[in-house]
Amino acid sequence: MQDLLQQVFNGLVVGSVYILMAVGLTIIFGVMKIVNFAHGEFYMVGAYVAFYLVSLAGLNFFVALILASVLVGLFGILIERLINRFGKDMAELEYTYFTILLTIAISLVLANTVNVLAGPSQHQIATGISTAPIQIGPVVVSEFKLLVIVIAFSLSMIFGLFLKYSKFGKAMRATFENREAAASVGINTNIINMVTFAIGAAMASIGGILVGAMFNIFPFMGSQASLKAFAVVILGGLGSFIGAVVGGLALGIIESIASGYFAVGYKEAISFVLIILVLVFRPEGLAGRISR
Amino acid sequence: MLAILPLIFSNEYTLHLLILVAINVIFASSLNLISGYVGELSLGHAAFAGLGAYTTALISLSGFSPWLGLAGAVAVTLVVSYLFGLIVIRLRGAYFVISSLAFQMALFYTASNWIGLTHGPMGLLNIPRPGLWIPGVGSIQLNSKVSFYYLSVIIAFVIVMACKRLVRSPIGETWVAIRENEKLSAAVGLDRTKYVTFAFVFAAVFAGIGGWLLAHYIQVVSPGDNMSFDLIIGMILMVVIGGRGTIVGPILGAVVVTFLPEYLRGMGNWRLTVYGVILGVLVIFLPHGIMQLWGIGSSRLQQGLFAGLAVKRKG
Repeated sequence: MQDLLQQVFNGLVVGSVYILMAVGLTIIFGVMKIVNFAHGEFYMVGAYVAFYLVSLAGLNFFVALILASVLVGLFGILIERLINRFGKDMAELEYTYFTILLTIAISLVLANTVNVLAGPSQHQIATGISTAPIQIGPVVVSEFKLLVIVIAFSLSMIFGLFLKYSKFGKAMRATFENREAAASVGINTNIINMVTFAIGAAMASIGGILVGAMFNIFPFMGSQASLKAFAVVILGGLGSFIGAVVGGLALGIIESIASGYFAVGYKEAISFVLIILVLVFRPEGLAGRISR
Repeated sequence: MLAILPLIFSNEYTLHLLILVAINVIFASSLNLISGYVGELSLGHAAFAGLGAYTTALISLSGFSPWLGLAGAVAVTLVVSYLFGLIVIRLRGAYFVISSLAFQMALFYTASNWIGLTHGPMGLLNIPRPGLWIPGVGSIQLNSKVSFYYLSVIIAFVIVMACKRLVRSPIGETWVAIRENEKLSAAVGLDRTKYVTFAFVFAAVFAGIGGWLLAHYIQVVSPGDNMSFDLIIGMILMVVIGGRGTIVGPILGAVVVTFLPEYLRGMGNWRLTVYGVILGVLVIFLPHGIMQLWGIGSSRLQQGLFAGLAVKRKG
């Protein structure tokens, strides 16, 4: 029982990072129908920017976190402009091909460029926050891990409320539902695209920074994170915000509990087996509606 | 002309690259069936190549003939692709892409972790070269590069011809019809699931045969060499650089992608960045690859196809 509680807690921490990754991925898909294979690279670049801001510029961890995520958000807008510039008049099939291949290309370029410039070695981002174990009842936690959970949940809650109640959030949801109809009632879908990409990229980079502070960063950290985020959005339903949150938590906890019973290496395979199972039995995702 | 190439390039290294070209032609041409003609981007293609490679490695390392390994590779890829097809064929676009990727990753982690069967990341070593019985000559072991070159080229040629026959057959015309206009193709009574399953299974089996060749050529099978995500990126590059939805395109692509790293050797670690830039520039400016330079875009070729199809159905 004690083990189980500990594993659930560990799952919550990992799941928090999955949520940060998956929310961006799912809204980018929802709004623009792009499967963003470069999403893990937003996460990686964010982590590297924050690492250098802390270690070279000597900034406070939180300042670096905010600055890095703003920079990566702006970078996300740049990518969105690139896709929009060349892809906007394409037929559906061409567009799917174009966006997937282009984002794969971007991810190759980013990961390998960082690999050459920063070197393949691993780093950890210094935070100044205690990672010492604290015993709470039967569970061992740390200040920083609690912080990770708080950051992930408050950010997704703020974003969820923003989507539900703000005028801009409503415009975003309208664009999810029907882009042409949204444009015809005067919603500027270009701005929606850019904001979606910026928020998605910024949230992914925050995920990367938190992971970089808990564990470590390396140039190819993004590809695995991307794959996990795909698993989460399929679990939750592509394009579903709630699905990304529920799916992220579910995957984190399932993986964590399963790692208590299976060999460590198999833990990584779980998410992919889950994707296939979900696609067989519930292709619309656990929380989702069909948005195919 | 392919038969005399070994006489011109007698050095071992060039022959090595030519063998890899032949194997890559198999991978690219088969991927092209599902991703070029049907138009569903499969990120699980390398897994079928890996499945073929692992099957034959296990069979031939147990002391059986590599040719039995070939039969095994075909059987396993056939069965697995059919079963996985039952799930994935219902899906389109992004769902197809992600679930095929999930399949690839599930197999990758299985190969990495099922140490008892696969030796994990270390891989299976010392896979034997196949022997061949030639009338009048007797039985020979294909140990030399030249003999393996001929084997690879013959198999690649047969597979390209098979792809060509498939594509020109009513089945292949139906693939394109489904790609170009799914609703209309359904309206004229074409069963998407059936035809896409055909493409998926054929592509997988051909990839399995390519995997068989690769396993017996390199003589090592490992998750990194035979199951990794990088492999599928290479295969997609070949199809896109050459021109998807054409027969010649993937062959050109396989040549370019196999030789490109040799020319980029001087760039050291920047090589993969350059790969990414090339892919990016291509998808923006030349989405139908080298073939587009000759004005052979895949969809242009197929204009008027539906008119023909409708007439055929009536008659």
